Amino acid sequence: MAGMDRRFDVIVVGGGHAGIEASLASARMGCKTALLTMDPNAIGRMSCNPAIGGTAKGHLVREIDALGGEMGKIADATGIHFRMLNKSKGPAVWSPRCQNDRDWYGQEAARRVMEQDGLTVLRDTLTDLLLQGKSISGIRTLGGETLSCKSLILCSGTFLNAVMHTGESSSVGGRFGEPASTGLTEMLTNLGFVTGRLKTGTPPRLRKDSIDWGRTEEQKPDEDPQPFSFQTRKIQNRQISMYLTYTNGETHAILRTGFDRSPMFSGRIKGVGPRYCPSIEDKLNRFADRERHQIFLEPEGYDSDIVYVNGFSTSLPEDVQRKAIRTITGLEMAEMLRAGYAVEYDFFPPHQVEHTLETKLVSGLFFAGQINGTSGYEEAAGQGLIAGINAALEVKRDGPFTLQRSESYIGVMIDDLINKSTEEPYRMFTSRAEYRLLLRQDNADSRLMRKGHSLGLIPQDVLENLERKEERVAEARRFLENERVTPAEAVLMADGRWANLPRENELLAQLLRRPEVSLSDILSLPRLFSDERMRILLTDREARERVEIETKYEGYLKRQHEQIQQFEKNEQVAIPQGFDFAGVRSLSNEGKEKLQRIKPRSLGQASRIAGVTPADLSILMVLLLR
Amino acid sequence: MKLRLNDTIAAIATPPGEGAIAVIRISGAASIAIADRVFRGRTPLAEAPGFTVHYGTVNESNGAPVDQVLATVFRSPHSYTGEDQIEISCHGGMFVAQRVLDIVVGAGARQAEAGEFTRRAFVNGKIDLAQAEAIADMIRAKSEKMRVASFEQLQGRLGERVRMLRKELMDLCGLLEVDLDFSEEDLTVIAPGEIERRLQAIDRALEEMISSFELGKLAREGVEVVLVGKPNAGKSSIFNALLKEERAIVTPLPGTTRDSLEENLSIGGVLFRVHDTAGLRESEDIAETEGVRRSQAIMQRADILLDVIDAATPLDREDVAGWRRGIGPSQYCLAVYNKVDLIDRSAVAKLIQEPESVAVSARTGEGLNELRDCLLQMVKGRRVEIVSITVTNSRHAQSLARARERVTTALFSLRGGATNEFIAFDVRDASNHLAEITGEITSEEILDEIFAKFCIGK
Repeated sequence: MAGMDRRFDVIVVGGGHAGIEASLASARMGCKTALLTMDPNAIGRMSCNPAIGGTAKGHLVREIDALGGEMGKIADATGIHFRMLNKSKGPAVWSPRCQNDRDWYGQEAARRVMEQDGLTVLRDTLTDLLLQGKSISGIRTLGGETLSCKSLILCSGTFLNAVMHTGESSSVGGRFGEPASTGLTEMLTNLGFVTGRLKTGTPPRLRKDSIDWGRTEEQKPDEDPQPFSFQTRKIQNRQISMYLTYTNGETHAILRTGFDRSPMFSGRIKGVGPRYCPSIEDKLNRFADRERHQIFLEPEGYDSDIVYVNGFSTSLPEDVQRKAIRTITGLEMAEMLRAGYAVEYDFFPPHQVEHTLETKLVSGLFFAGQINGTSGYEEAAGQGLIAGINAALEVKRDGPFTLQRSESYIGVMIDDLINKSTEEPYRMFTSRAEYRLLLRQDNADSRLMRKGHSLGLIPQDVLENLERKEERVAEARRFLENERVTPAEAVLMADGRWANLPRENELLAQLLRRPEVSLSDILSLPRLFSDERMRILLTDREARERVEIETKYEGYLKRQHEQIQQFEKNEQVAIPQGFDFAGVRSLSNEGKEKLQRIKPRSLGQASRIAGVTPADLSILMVLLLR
Repeated sequence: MKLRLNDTIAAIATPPGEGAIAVIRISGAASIAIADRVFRGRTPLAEAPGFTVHYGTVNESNGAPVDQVLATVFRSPHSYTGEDQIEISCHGGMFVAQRVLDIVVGAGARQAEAGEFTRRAFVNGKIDLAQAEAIADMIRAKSEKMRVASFEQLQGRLGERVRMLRKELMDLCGLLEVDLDFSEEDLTVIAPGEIERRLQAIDRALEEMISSFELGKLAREGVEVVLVGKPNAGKSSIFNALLKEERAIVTPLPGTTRDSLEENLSIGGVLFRVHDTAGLRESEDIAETEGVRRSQAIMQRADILLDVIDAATPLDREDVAGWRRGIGPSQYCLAVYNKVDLIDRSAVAKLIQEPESVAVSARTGEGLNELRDCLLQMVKGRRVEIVSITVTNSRHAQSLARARERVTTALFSLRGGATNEFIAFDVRDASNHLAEITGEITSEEILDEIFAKFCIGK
């Protein structure tokens, strides 16, 4: 290719959480990779909440890690407050979360990117896409360079035609103090892509010393912090507390005085915001009868002077924000360092991508992260990883690599993005995963690590560790299924804690299935923990947890496995490429239109497309099955 | 069955055999054009609006008329299948109808497969799955009550009720999910005990629908009535008197009825399936022993046992109860004192003072109306309010039972202190089972099961 200044296999545009995973995966899979960013200092920047994980998002991070991604490791290295959420509920919804030192996280991410072999960071801006026919062949940059590539991954975050709003003032820009990128949307629409507009918001930041911490509730971190990464042995960082306070009636009254000047209510923001990560004004509207809302005060780092006001995302005028903040207990004297704002940006409705995240219109072009209408670092990172892997596989003329709904949250997310029309930023929830009881954070490694290994993203010794753990789990489970205890031994184990004691010899597994019995009760019996198969569990927390969960909930897990078999039946009924849905006269008009637009690859996928009726599905079933 | 949606199908829609008229049904995009190729009327059907009837002839390809017919035009989507449709009414008799069908097929239509018209109606959104099934039930309805039940299902009442319950389950799921996914955001809204209360209400509603199926089974399959009693008590005479037909061989010799006979009897719109059995008597006769074994099997599954007693033989009156010990808890037994024309009035009056007894004479017909009333009362006594029956289909009943099983499990887990993701798992599962009824969740097996029931022409 003449006229190309530099050649790469894969170019990644954007250094956010999607871009990091995409570029690292591509480079690690042996592709010559470039990461194009407007500002290398912004790589891995936590632009909103200085935290990783949380309900369902924690699952995503564990999966990214099991596949060989980086997010969990960076979070472990820079986390200052780890907590396993939902511990009072069942193991399927336990979700790891950590607060991070914001600057440290960015530095650590940037370091890993800079040190990666085969990955070049370029400070520049994309100005033009170069195509050969329907395939991507390279890009041109603001710096005047022409770069060739076989795959291009766009991870442009909230920057496309971005506008920031605070009250009645608005300015062009993707994030506080950063420019927007213009022109890319238009380039893509010229190629036939359709675009939409979304918005997201961020809360004000306060000065740490101006808060009366004594009047807030302290929230301590977990005593035994559990790392995100299966490769992190132990969290070494000193752990600090977070603090909790609440809004009150006065806060709400003041906030309401600004509603007429709010860009959301005055109609200046056209983009649709996330229903599930609502701004404080949204919360007042939607839960009008609530007297107070919870506010987390999150220090942004060990030495940082900045405190993030989680739960108070807003785009109301600055004076209203300042006044309202000061009505909150502990914040009476708070100094606002920066007002909250909303940002509105372009996205590309994700029915335009395949499950590999490659666009249907241009081969070699991938979208990952907020450009697909998602919200959140973890959602972005998961997509970045999948896009990076597939971009690299395509360079090697291999692949595709896709994940099923039945094996991962990442699979659920991408499948949802493609089949359900996104009207608001997509956030991961455990309820989106119909096989939730099996897709737990504790078994992400068993679900995905072998795949990560065969892609070359998981080292051999890490896989061997997993295999050893799985062996321990299997042996311990067999032991529990074959060994009985006498009623006298049960009395010792129970130590007065159980409501009912067995009257006859009972199988250990049976005993463990009683709600009040825990594995540690069982391990307290000397005869049992002296057995090698049991003793090992005392030192291997992951194996111990797995044994307990898989034994206790065996019945549920079995049923969920059966559901998956049913699910896979329809997934395996392939719809041939180029199938003419419009030609099937009897399909409903809406169904026809949606099917033609999304072009599902299987009967199962067709069944999940919003707007496809059961009758449509029956028709397809009959057409495809014989 | 391969569904070819783009061609035009035809079939004889009336039952085989002699009849005043027969109807040939044609459906599909080309149905009107095909009809015009074989039909000669005053104007071409292509110019006729929907819901109009046209007199004319159906002609052979050489122009020779085969029959005088009436052709009814239905225009898409206002037809049974939702497609353009023609119904040709010709003279009855299989030969004419078959000839007309052959000509229509010769003009470009394809012979329809069993259930294909209904399948198209379903595919074109004219009916939902529950309605399709109801049509199958209605065609095979043997009694008025059963027809009403099917008809109401056809109107979507079943679907409506199931959809309502499903929505309630989904709402519940939503509440549970909020608790799981937003626990950190302080938005939880479930009052303590609310989940249990609502699950219980759903459980009761499902139970009611399931039991309506048990009763609906009576409507669909009829109430099983079996005549039992000593040899020569007059079972066959009563059987015949009820049916007003000389069906069983009636002789004064004990043990004449070797086989059990079955006839359908409609009383007050309720279908009764009446069995006459071989007498309950140990016998050396091998054929009769076989008959006794068979009649015992029928007795076991019967809903109502008519214990026929020879009122004229005092001894028989006394040892009535002996065999009754074997009666199941859900079975009803009625003492039928026969031959009351042979004893005096005061003895009759005394007999019928006993509970659940009726005095008849098969020979004179006396008391037969009372017997019929008693049968009907026994069904009503089971509170069989047949008109309100909503579930008549075993596939639906199965899905309802599975849904209820899940709801029961959820309630059980809830009381055992299980956390919400396990409750939600069962609630979701229950909702999926309900969706199988309305067709919101379909599988190949379900489709095959439903459409396999139809005959050709429907």
